[in-house]
Amino acid sequence: MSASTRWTLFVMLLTVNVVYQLVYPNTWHQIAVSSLTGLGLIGLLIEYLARGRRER
Amino acid sequence: MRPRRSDFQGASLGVFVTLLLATVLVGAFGVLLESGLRAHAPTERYQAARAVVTTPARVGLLTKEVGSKPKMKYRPRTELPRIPVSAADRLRQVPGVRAVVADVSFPLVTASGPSAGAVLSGHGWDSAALGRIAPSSGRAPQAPDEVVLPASAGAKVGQAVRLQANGAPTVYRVTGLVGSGPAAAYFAPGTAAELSGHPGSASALGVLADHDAKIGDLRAAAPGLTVLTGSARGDAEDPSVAAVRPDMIELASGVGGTSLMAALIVVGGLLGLQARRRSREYALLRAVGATPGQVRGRVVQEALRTALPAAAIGGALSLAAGAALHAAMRDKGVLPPGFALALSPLPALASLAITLVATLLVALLASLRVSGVRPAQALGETAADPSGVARWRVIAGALLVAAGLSTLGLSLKTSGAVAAASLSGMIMSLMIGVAFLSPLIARLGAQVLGGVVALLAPVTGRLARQAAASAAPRAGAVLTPVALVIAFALVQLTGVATIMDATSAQASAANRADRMLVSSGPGVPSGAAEAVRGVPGVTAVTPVHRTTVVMPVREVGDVELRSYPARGLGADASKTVDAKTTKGGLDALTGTSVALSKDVAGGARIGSSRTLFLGDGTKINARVVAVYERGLGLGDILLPRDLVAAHTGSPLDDHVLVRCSGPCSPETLRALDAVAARFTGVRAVDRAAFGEATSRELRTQEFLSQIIVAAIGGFVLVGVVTTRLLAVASRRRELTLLHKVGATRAQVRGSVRLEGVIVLGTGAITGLAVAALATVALAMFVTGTPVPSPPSLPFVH
Repeated sequence: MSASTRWTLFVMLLTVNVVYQLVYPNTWHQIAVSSLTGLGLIGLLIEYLARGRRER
Repeated sequence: MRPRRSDFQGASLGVFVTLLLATVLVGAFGVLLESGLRAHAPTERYQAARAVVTTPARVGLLTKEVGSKPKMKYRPRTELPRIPVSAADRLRQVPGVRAVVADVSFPLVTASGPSAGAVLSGHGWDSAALGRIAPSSGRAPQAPDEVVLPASAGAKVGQAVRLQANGAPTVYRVTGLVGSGPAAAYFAPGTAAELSGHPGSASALGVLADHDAKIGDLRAAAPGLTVLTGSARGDAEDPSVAAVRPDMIELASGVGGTSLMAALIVVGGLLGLQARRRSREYALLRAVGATPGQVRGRVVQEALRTALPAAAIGGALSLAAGAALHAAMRDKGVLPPGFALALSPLPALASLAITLVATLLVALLASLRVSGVRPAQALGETAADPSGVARWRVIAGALLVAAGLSTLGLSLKTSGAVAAASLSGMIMSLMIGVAFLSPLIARLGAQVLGGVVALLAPVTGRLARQAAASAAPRAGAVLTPVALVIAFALVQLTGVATIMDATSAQASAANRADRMLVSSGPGVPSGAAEAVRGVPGVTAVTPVHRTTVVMPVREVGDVELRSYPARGLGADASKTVDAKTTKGGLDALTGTSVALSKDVAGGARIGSSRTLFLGDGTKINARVVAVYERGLGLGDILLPRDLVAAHTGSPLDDHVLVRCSGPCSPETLRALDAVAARFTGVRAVDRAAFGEATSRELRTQEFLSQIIVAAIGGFVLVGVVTTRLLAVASRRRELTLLHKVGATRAQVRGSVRLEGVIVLGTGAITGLAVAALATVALAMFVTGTPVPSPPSLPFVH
């Protein structure tokens, strides 16, 4: 995954996370969306860290 | 290897100025802290008393948190207490005690003569012995209609004067004058007890005794009461100084600590930059046998050589700064008039020591990288700045920014302590995330802002853009403090402005009265509300009596004792006050009941019980009868007026709300004015003229936010200027090369200036973005709309 794809995905997932919290607070689907996008964000960061270790 | 003088003149000057300012600030707040610890109200009327017996100055509650032992938590009481006069009997039995005087105290207004409108403190003549007060002319009062006045009242012995206590002005005959001492009027003891509104009670018991009377015996004779001696006797005269003491201690420590932390961030950055610039020299030292410890020692030594004179001069100046701060806080009403300044060398020495120790730690941290680098690696590095960013920084920064933005929803949808905590967490998270990601932000800024600059200035702009992009970590070190100070300053100043505007908007919206009776003196006599009820056209009359109440609340899991401004509302509260109740109603506010704002209600049900401590420290279990939304405008706690008045030092009301049936007719308004005219200093005003005085808490916050912003702005300005100078100095070879390949001096200078514009501009935009998020969230939390109030300019009113 290229750097621009990775960070574009990061910003999109973060935006979805924040906007969904504001528009649908305290609903079951907001919790599900926040969890999924949060996992996605962490996954992207892990991929970034792993790629750095491989390149070294 | 001696460094060149020009190498670290810039950095050392920056470090010197920053540490000097930091020491001055820490020392100034240290003076405030010491004053808070030693402050007592001046002892004037109790000078001759061996001891003064009163109720404990603070209320306490035993709390237990999970995993820790039970402990007492305390808050000060703010009102004069009520002690039964019979408590003096046991004190009189103590050996050595000559007399015990029950002192009563009540506010008084002169209603005639040259000093009409002057506020005096009323007492019984028997308490004059406690202050060695004797008439300089005339004699002591004996009959119920006799009084002794201070000479400053402008009356003559034998003259008839009108004085107003808690009713319409009454005529008294002046039998004596007191030449010096506090502004107090003395009545016959029986008259004073009646005028105080609580016959049979005293606000303090003054003990006149010989020196052989033991204080321990007095304490044993007064169980449950406090025996005050020495300068602590002043706290019995005026509890307002003791009441602000814990807040001042907390505030001085907090603000002093914040200023020091900000200074150390700047100093750490400067020391780190300086150490990086000399990394090749340190590598050479390592190559010829110096140990990492010796290199670290050298870095620390150089830092301390600058810090020592800065801290010494700053410490000396901090005493004057502390005195000036104290005076400014008294002028703004943040400190009560009796809060005296306590000056000693201790704050100066403490700030010197703290600054030196902190500088030592920061220099050690700055030296870690250069002392640990391998000599061959360092010698092999090119002279160009590194452009890469460590992955751990990117990951940590991204996580913190994501976490900060994720809590935005939480702070917008909750209230009270949870919302405040999540808002603070969001701001901290975003700021630290920006600090970690600063090289990437600098690179982005070089592309975007640099592109704009390159369009406007093709040659110098392009050079500047490339220079900014290629040395991103160095640019990040410059833009980080700029972003932080702009974000911090805007959030602080806007936050206070938003809260102040929301408070006055809520107070105005909550007021359904057509007219208000207000006083230019100590308060509105309770007879005024009764008199207004009889005016034709008036349908609702609500006297309002303010006080401070202490209540245990649960904050993020722990039980804390907090002081809250509270209002006692009289009859017809639901007709004159619109608190926007969500549960229950203000009609039920009678007896021992309480209405709570949603921020402190903590989900309380109507009919449940809440423990709270009234103004004089009396503990009650109040029945919750309403929960309301307008906590900012009305205060977080509403109580029945009679309950509040029975437990405050003054029987007078703060104001009276009056509502007419429909708009008030001219006859009704004239009748209201006539009623008000019967009481000295009282007048009827309309809603436009009725402005609620800003609370002491808000005035304190506004004042302190201006100081913190000015201090941190000063540190960052010094840091940015110094860092820019250092950055230019480190690029001497690069700039010389540019000149040699054809760039003119003007172009080189221009490119350096434009590079500064790009970097500082990126920092400013980043700071504004963080501030915008935080202030919008704060506005939603406080007002319910995403529109923050513009900040008030520092020191300008």
